[in-house]
Amino acid sequence: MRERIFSLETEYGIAFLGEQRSSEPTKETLVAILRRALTNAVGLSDSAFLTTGAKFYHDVGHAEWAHAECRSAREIALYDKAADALIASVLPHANRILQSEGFRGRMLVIKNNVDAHGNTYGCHENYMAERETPWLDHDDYLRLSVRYLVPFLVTRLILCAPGRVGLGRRGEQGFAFQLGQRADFINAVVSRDTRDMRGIVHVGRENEPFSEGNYRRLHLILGDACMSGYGTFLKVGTLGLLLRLLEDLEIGDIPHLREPLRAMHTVSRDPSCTALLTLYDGRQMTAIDIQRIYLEQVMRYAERYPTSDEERELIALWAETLDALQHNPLRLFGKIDWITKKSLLDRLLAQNGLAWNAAALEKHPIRYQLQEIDIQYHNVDPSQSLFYKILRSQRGPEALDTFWDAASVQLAQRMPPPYTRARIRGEVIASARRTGGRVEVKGWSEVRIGGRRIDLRNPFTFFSAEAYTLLKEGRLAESR
Amino acid sequence: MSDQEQLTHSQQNLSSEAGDLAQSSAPPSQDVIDNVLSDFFGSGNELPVETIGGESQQRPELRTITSEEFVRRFRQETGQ
Repeated sequence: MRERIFSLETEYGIAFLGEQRSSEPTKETLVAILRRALTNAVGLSDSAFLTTGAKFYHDVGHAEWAHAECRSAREIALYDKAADALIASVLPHANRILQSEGFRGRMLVIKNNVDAHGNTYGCHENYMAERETPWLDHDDYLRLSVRYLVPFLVTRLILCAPGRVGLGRRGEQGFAFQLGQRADFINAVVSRDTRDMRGIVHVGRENEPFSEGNYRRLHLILGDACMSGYGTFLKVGTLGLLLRLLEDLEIGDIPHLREPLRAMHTVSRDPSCTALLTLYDGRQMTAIDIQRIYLEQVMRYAERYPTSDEERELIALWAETLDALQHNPLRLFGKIDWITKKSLLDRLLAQNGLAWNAAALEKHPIRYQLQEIDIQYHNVDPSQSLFYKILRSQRGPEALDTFWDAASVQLAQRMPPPYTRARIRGEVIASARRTGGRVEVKGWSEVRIGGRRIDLRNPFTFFSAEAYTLLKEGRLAESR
Repeated sequence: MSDQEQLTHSQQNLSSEAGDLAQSSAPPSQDVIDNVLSDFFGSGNELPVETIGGESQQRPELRTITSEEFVRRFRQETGQ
């Protein structure tokens, strides 16, 4: 497959910082208020979709942002950042709504994946993928995919994890640093479940949107959200490259982990990236070794098959990142979240003459400051966030991302991705906002204008003559 | 140029100039980290001197509800 759809579903942690004696809104109320503020900026009151083509809604105790369909890893990295920036920009409005409803305090939106009570919320990844190949039917191809995805997913933590203070779901296994936030919540190698048995490879929902014809949706639930666009680009882009190798059956000789779950926890708890993982044949390798084997296969593939500018850039960045992880990880400060966060934590400890000693830190008051860094790194509000404080100290006071300039991030807060069906969805919503007309945008695969259904089942469709004619004729206003 | 065209154009341009690790490959200076921590926790970045069972003399404001929750739980657990 040369063309692919990429998407993410980011679940934000949301909290209320109340003044004394203020009543406390429920999570549902907070999400509803945030949605009202977003709707005011870029949405419609009767649809969860926005002018960017994305969808924002309340999903079982958290705020979920389902991104619009994107055509590249770079594009989804941009839209992921734009979503954070848009939420941050409407927070003042959301806080005014809170006040007007009698809640004295302010809202806090955190882009992390675990809270202090042992709850986890995800950053699910979606990739359009082939359902089968000319030589393998669906089931055989799925088995092959699982075999080659598992070692990759277990070890990619070193490329894109956000970092976390605490081991175990509630931190009960020790006050120490680990790379991943979701790693301790993954308890199956392969699973269809998203709550009790979370798999390294999730095999559910493969028939949901952007899965027409020979395509399925690869829906991964193990990943963490990245603050850094660099991390998002690597996370999504390297998996996209791996899917190309799988679909062309150009992959082989990949190390087979003996105990993938144990290996994932080992990788997550090893900031040195030197822990040895045991393979099925008895050999042992580090996460960096295994990532290098994937990278070498991707490089060989790229010598034989046409690749895009973005794919070549990804390969170069992947190689540089592995080199840096091996020889000088601090080169990745500001780019890979876990390294940036750990640098802050390490420095705070050093300033106070302390080191990572779980037993000692457990009873030391500095734990509050370490935990505060762990949370506030992920605040989407640039005036509060440690990620943005670092970013702006490196790239200037207006910087919003490691990867994209501020102007592009601002445009992507209201414009849809240009080359997918999200463009039609987003422009229909934008027209309805301008004219006050009514449209129906209830799902990903269609919109209705003046009662006429526009078929958007093909995610690569980015222009609809029928939609534009209806909008031009003012049918949208007539339907009011 | 429309906004949509601008967005498309900017993406194409950026693909050749941004995100390059080589662009800024130097490790951070300690000053950068110190300044960020100092800005975040307040000048001096003094360690909170509240100890288990002890007195609270000087403690930076805990700015998140989760941290406050930790303090509440911690106090409950230790009977303070």
